[in-house]
Amino acid sequence: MEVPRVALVVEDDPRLQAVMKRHLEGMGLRVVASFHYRGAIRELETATPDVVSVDLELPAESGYELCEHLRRQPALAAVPLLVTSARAFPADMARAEEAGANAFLRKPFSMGQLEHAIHMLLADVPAASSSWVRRLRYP
Amino acid sequence: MLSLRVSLDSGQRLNLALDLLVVAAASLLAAVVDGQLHWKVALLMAATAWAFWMAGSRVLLQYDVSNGRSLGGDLALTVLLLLAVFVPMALLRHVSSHYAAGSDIARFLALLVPAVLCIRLAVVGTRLWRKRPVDCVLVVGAGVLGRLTQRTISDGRQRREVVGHLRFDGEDADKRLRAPVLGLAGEIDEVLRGRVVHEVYVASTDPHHREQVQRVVGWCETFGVPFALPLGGYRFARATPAREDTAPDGYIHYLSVRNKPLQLFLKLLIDAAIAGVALVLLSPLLVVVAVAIKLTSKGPLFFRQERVGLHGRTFYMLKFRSMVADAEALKAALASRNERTGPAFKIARDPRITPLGRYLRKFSIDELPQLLNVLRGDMSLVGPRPALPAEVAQYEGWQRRRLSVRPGLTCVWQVSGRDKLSFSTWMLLDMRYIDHWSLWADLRLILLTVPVVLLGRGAS
Repeated sequence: MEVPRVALVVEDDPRLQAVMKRHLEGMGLRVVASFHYRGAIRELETATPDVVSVDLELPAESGYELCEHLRRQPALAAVPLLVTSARAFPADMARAEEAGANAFLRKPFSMGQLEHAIHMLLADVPAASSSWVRRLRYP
Repeated sequence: MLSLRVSLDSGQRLNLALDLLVVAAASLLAAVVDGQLHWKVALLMAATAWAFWMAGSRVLLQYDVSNGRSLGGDLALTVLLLLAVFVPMALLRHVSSHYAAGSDIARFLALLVPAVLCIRLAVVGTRLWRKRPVDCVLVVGAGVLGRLTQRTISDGRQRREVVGHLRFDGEDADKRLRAPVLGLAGEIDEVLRGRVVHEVYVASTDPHHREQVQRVVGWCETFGVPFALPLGGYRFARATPAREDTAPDGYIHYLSVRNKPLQLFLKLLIDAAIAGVALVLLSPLLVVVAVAIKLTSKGPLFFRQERVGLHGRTFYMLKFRSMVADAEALKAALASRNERTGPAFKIARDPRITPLGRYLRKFSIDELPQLLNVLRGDMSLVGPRPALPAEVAQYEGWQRRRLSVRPGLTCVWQVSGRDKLSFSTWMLLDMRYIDHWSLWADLRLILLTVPVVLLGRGAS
């Protein structure tokens, strides 16, 4: 049997995290989830994700820090990285892109939009951005 | 008779078809009395309503998107059009006994107005917004922020389009830009001279671009073009501006004209009301003049001339023809006799003017068709006179600020001696009007214009 691909979901809203987790598992992914930066760092010691979804607004360190941490690790520097945030001004997306994000998903988003974004990042094909999912750079 | 060429694209045809369908449906429903449909009444109502709707929409350019109307303006025009349909129907009722009863017409209108407005808001409005963006945006900055700003402006339901980017000196253009790079940030004055731009976005938070941004801001202020600066070059993990309307799209928006939204809105309403009433009251005079023009000289009734409107978008200004039919061709031969300084052209005893034209001009009757331009939203009652494209091309930088407001029928210049002033004095008067504009000043100018026109003072 094929080994399922791994998604790391960092989201501090427990309800949203649960829904995202269930939905990504429905897509055939194995999901590792965390509510904050430190939890995510701990998960990364044992798991090597194929795709990461990070909320920018986290309780202690922000999502930007996690993006930069990922990009500093040689093993994770190229992992597709999705940033989610309710703040989605062009300047915020530019900052996220600088921090290493590959795509930006504006909150609140539907699970269909999440699925579209994850597919876009995993499929390695240039899928179209929409007004919700903004492709920042290719992994 | 009216040489108002209207070419409709598919969106506009859908628009017109929907409106006519609603008119027909409203007629049918209005003609149902006691559960019985009166076919004759329904057909008569639909036919008259269609006729007046078609005529009204042609005159007001209702289905022409090229004149840059906002949704609010479009709705205002629709209400006018509904009135243009309703008034003759109400009058017809008194003329013919076969025609619908008053209650039918009242029901017709009660069904029609909300239906048309809803369709316009929900269906046509959104369709048109996607179909043809009307406001042109220039993005200064061709980097990551420039690209993301372009994408944000161009998608969704905004009625705007990015016409191009300007690149900062020393900045590499992003490879994924969707709009063309038109030049360097330092060349913004030339770019703004050459095209219609409604707003300039400065998409850079790089401190190295500070001086270039300052120059861009300077030119925007000189030309009177609105501009937007990014909120900040910082990361925000949770903070948002204390007031939500500070920066609706992450940019702080600046205007170089006085921002008086309520007064401006009232001005648009007053424009439409006065122009509409004036056209009705003056209609006997207009008909007499139209017949006289047709009888006394060969050529069209109206003189239709391209003029520069708000933000440099051109429109066709209407006048009663007061010159011989080939007057424009004769202009070059008379260039040496020009009595105006600067780019404007005027001769006191212009040989191209017809005898009737001289009277029309003396009492400014030739200008009355511009009330239609006011209804169409091209012009306002009070504002700087719209200039010819050739004149605008010769403007100095600061003079382009005239284009930051809607042009008008009358302005300070018209009530202060008119033709006796030099070009630069005229421009300075217009700037003073723009910088100190208020609704009360406008009403005063309208009142001051009336005696000038009635006494035939000023115009030659």
